Amino acid sequence: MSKVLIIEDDTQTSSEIASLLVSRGYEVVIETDGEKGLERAINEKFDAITLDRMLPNISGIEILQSLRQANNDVPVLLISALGLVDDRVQGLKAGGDDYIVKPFANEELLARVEALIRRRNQSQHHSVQLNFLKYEDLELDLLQRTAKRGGVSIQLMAKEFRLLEYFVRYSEQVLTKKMILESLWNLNFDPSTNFVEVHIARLRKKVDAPSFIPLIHTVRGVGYVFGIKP
Amino acid sequence: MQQQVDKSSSLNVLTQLKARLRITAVRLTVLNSLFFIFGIWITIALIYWQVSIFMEERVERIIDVNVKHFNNLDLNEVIKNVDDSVKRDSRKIELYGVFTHQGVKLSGNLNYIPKEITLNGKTVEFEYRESGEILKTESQTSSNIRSFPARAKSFEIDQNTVLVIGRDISEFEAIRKILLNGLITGSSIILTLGFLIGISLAVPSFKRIQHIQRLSKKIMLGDFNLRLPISKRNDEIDILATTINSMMTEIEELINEIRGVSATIAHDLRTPLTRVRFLLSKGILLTQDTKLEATQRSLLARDLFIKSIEESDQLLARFTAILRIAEIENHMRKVGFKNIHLEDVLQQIYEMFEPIAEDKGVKLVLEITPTAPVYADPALLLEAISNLVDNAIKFCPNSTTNTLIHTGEHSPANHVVVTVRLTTADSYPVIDIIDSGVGLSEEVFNALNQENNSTVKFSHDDHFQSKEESSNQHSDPCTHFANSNRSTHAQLTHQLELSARSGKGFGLGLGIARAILRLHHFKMIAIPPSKGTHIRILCNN
Repeated sequence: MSKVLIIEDDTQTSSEIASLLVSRGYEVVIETDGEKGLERAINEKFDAITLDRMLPNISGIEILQSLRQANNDVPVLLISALGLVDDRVQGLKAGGDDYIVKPFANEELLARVEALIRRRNQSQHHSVQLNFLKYEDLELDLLQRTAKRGGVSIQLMAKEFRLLEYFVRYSEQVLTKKMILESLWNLNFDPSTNFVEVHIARLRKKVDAPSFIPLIHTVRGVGYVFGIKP
Repeated sequence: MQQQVDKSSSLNVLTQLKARLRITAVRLTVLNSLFFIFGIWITIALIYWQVSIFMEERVERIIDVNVKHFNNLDLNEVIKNVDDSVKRDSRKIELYGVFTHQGVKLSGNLNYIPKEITLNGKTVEFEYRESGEILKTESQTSSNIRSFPARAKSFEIDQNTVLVIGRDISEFEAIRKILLNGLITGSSIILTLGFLIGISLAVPSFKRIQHIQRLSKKIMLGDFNLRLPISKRNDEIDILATTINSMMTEIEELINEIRGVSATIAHDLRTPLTRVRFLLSKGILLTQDTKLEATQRSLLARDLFIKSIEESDQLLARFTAILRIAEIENHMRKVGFKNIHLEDVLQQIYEMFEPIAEDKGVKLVLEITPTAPVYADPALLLEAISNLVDNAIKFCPNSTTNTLIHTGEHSPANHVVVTVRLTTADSYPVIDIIDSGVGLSEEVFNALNQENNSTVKFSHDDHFQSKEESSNQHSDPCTHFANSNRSTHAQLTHQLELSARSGKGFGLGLGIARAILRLHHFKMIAIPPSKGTHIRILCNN
């Protein structure tokens, strides 16, 4: 069971986040005081931390910096009401792994925490970069930038290949539109159209041909999940 | 009571005087006078010093000549010569005295040997009292005693007698006193005049500063349309007042903008908030509705919740966009600026939006002529142009497929087309985004072009010229799109907001694009096409 530390001074927000994570099977620890939170983060072992950026006495950025200075590489999700591009950049530069702006959808928070934990586990278990990715009958050659399904080659554009690679890396995990936008297009703004939907629809046409079991699934109102539906 | 009034009015006068004394003009004039006085003192001291040396040497020479003369004479001749000399000296400045060694006077106008004098010694200066200690008796009054400064020396005539030869140097003292009196009087006059001139110079400045002070207090109380007075003198106060006035104009416009934006934000946030509140209230009523079955209630409640979340999301999106505009307009992101090629940005936009356009059945056409690099933030420019292209695609009627066309090729005629074109005009790049959609509303169109500080008229082949330029065909066609003015900026913001609310969609996306282009000092203008919208970006920063 993964253990998550929540550092948040607002008790209502922290209990909401906690109940959300508990409902997904996480073990949670809440700290409303920043300094105590930092102490626990350094002394105990956590799989991820959700850290409020604006705390009394010590800021989330300072906690993050102290944590990284102590060579602690626990994944940190910064939660903040400050959503300007510069605020995000500052948060990520300070050592944050991801950044989410208040208010957020529950699924968005869950997806991001899950992605952080998954990424950490992957990097711990696969220290050598793989040149191939495989999910069921789908194979990706990361060097040749080619994809095959059931042994049949799929013609993909560069961006489509990156999108598919992203899906495979985070298979069986909910990925929100925001996460896809940030990871694939590196956009700091919301293009405000059905941007992600259209690109995924294109990819879906190529990957999930009628003869194959569908792999790309829409999670209504949240995002997408890649994998075989249980 | 009267005393108190007098006291307070005198205090007031004192305070005003103190305030005037602190004025630079007074201080500088008084300081200048002091320097002047100091200079005069130095000059006069030098003159006095030189004169003293000259007169001392002169006295010394005269005494020496006399000494030489008397040195060769016997006692009787000396006495005779002394008596003659005393008689001849009508100015009474020559001093002679023939004395015995015991100090008994034998001849001359000196009554005693001054104690400072040593026999055969150097010439010494002393205060000679005419009545002298020797002659002084109880009967003499102090008023009879005349004392004066003198210089003298003595030598032996023979074994029993001594001759003292000297000179009255009262003239020295007189000159010293004249110089000193002149200095004191002159200094006082200069200082007083300097002070008076300083005050007279300071009074007008002081009055202007007091006026500025009064105006500033009014401005501080919120009267932002007031301006500081500027005289024709163009002095330092005028220079300062001009700068402050420009600053005030800027502040006033910003405040007006903030007022306008605040009202817009208040409207835009209150409306969806009211809707959310309404939906939630409806939810409460639903839970109390006993006529409905539990399943039906939960389904209806779910619908209400979904609608509430959608409303909240819209609210947040609007809020984020407003913050984004503020962030861009605050010029917070100058760090990302570098020399970039616009074709790379447009290519990226094409790749991003080509599937969107295809999905909508719109042909997205990219026409690129390589241009000179521009100094820009590629991420921001991507955002600005994306917003414009997004609008263009969104408001095109659905049609068929897309193609990428480079210069020289032409799109088939029977498709709904959005064209993104990069060309060079007058050595700077120009981006055109042309669609055949619903077009801009008249208000937005006018506001967008008015923002560029000039009325623009267009011909059908997209060549544009300002009213000013129509009289000067050789001028740069883009110079009239000089700095945008803020009043039209606020007007445009308002128009965009209205447009956004009316569902025409050219709202915050266009607002963000405009803010980014303003940050780059690029000009965005709307050109009237026969159908749809034609936005032109002049990248001449």
